[in-house]
Amino acid sequence: MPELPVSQARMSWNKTGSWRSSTPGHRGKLPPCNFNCPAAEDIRGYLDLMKKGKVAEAFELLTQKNPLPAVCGRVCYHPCQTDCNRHSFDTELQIRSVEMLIGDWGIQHKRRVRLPEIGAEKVAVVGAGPAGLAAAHYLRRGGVNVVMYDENHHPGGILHYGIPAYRLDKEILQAELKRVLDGVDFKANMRLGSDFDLGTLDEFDALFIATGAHVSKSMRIDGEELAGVESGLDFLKRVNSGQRVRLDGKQVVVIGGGNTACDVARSAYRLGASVTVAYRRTENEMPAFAEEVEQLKAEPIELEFLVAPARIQQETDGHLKVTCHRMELGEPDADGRRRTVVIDGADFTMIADVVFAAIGEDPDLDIAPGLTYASDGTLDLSQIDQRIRDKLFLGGDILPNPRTVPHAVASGRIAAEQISAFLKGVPYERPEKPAEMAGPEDINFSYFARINYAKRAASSNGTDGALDEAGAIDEANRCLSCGVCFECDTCYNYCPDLAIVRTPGGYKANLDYCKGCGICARECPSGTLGMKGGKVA
Amino acid sequence: MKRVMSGNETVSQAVKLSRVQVISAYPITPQTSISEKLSEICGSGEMDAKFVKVESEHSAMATLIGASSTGVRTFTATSSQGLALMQELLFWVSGARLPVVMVNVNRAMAAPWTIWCDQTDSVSQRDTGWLQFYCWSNQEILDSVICAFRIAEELLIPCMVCHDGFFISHTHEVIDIPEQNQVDAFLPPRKAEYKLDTANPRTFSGGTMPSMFMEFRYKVQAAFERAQGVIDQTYKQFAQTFGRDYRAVEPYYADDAEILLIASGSAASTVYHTVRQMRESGRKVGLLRMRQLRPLPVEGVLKHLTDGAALAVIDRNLSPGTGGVFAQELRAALHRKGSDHRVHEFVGGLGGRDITAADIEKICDDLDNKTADPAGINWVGLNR
Repeated sequence: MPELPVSQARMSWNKTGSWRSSTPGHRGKLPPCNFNCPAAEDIRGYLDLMKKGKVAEAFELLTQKNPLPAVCGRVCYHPCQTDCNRHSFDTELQIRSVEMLIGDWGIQHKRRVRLPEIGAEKVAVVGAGPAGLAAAHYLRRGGVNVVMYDENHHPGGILHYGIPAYRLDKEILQAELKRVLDGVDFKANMRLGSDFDLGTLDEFDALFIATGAHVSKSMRIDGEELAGVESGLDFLKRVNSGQRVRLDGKQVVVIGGGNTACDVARSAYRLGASVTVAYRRTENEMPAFAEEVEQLKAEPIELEFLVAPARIQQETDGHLKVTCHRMELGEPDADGRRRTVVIDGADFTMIADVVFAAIGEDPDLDIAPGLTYASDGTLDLSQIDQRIRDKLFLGGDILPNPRTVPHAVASGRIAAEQISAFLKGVPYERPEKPAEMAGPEDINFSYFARINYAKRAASSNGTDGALDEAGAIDEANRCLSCGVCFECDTCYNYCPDLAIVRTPGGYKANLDYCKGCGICARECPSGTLGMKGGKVA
Repeated sequence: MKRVMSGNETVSQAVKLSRVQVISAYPITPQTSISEKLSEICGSGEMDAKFVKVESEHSAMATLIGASSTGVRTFTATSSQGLALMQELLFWVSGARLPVVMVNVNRAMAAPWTIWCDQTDSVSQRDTGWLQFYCWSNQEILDSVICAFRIAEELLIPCMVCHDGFFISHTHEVIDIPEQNQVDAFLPPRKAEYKLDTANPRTFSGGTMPSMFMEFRYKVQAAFERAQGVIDQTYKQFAQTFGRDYRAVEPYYADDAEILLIASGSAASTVYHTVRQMRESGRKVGLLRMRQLRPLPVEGVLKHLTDGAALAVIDRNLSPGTGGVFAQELRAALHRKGSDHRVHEFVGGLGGRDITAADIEKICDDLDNKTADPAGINWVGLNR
């Protein structure tokens, strides 16, 4: 027996960890901003860079997934902010403001992408809207020779011709598009289906079609053909093309409740019209983004809910008489939206100079002969020549995607990845998205201070929601880094067994010494660490 | 090299000379100036040691358990409530056979609140398995601390070196500081047979079954039984190196004394001077100065006992319900050795009260007149 109570054998076989019934590890939950971003931006990542004042690096990271930050900072409906865990703590992060600052920074600093030499592959991109722009940009960044066709004079599609200038400044748009299309051969005023056809694109190794959805749906009522009854989208296009459109003192009725209806109504109001928006359901059912509805309501524009046009007639004085049904909401339909039911005997009339129909848009099927919808809402390509079809990729609003700018950008970027794989002859593997996002229950709010955002709103430069660089950095500093390690050392400091070791960019548990107490996970401020059960020898 | 230093500053000198590697301490009056000075000289680089700041005495001792387990030389200092806060770890240190050295500056235990001296704090730790030394001068503090490391490391038993708060801790005296090379020759670096080593991991003081626990306790007891021999040998070599001679029990006019006063710490120095005066007037009184409580140096006492000598133990401590601890310990030890000397217990000087020459003369008078209670506590200077 030894003099003191010490084992005589080496105890290296029996590490502290042999007691353990669970081990720490990354939970793998996504921050809500990243989880909800349709464009799959690493928002948490660029907020972290912004925290450190690294605007250039933030710009690089952001534009790896979305080449249009200045645009999206202005027009995206920012679902990134919806589930921000700051929401229940003080107020959600103004991510779109940070994105806008980063985008504007890129424009001000004339950032250009370092482009590789053009290789042998050639890809045609048809449609210069957000999907086509993203596809062309990322293909060109990958060294592909890209030729882009659009029926309009300016690139941008809906960004240029649909979204009014008061929401998206044309100079900002053009500056951003200049960078995005750097190195891309843009051919303007080329309409697929009339100026050229798919057959003429056979020289390309792959084709990407993203011609969008810009054919206004018919209201299918009598009088739709009358002069003064127009497509709302066409109206926006004329306004955005710089044409002089006169509406001074005119009575305008806008039919619809989507984003186009909002833009049409607000644009008409800015041109001097008295505007009434007529929507067949209530405000709650409006398909427009909530923020656009709020902005619409903030302007002196009449809103008529539960109203549907029945017919339009021309009065002898030239005015249009719009006869409308009063509606009520019935049972939910297959989509869960409540049906509208006409209330008998409640018809009424509105007098208008102009009626804009904005009840939705369909893709333009005239781009190729024989193009029809398949039963699942996608396009039936069976009538297209096999040679073309084999190298044809589609994206953006032509597909049954949610019709938003970030969805279109994502669609274009993913198409670029698919086309690159196709050109290399390798299968495309879409990266898997983690199933869960980190919610408020994952965050250790005790580690964070409440910050009053309202106090700093004064630093705005005047544009709606705009922040200066210092303001954006302050805002980024509010980021809780939900579910993602921000190297705060809390686990490292708390581990009673010194089992947490620093690694480049984070920490890991040395399982020889971890006894599974879980203090690291319990204390982790951002909900990054969690404990996994099961005895691990 | 001679210097004038307070008792506490002397401790710091001794710790530095002993090349302690890890120090951890928490301030408490009247010890504070020890850890203050040590933190300064660790911070300045004058001493090559790690000073670990902690939030309590409990943590200080826990730190030293970890540090000492790696084989390094460790030190702490405390007083009174601080020592009490360490108590569970005092057992751990001795059970784990870690040669930690601690200075306890004696201070009474509250309540009521007090910062003044008595020895109840350290004597009440007599069962924790530490050697206990009691000093009466600054030079003795310096020498005892250096010796304590050697004794502790040889026996694998921790050592507590005690001196009286304020009476000694804050009193300045001339001391002779030895040269570093002399101390190095007397006290080589610690050589631990077992130490915490990640390359060669072992379990230290782990869960022990009834089949083995008692054997470890027996080994501690056996070390205490060997301790006096090791201590005496250490003093002998110390005397050869430094020229100062120490014994466990130091006699003064003891051998022909009819009254033998037994005391420790600063009270012993008052007894010493009183004995000298009384000898001048012809009274046959003597002093046995107790320099240890653990191990209790009963052989050192027996050596000086003559038949018929009246024994009076002056305790500056109290174990309520029994009496003075030195008296009880000595009575039990003498009985075990077959001695029929009666031990008279005198308890005084609690909470910093002086034990004066007049008090000591009165003790002698009471013994001469047989007015001292032979079977109970005789209170010194108590106002009833």
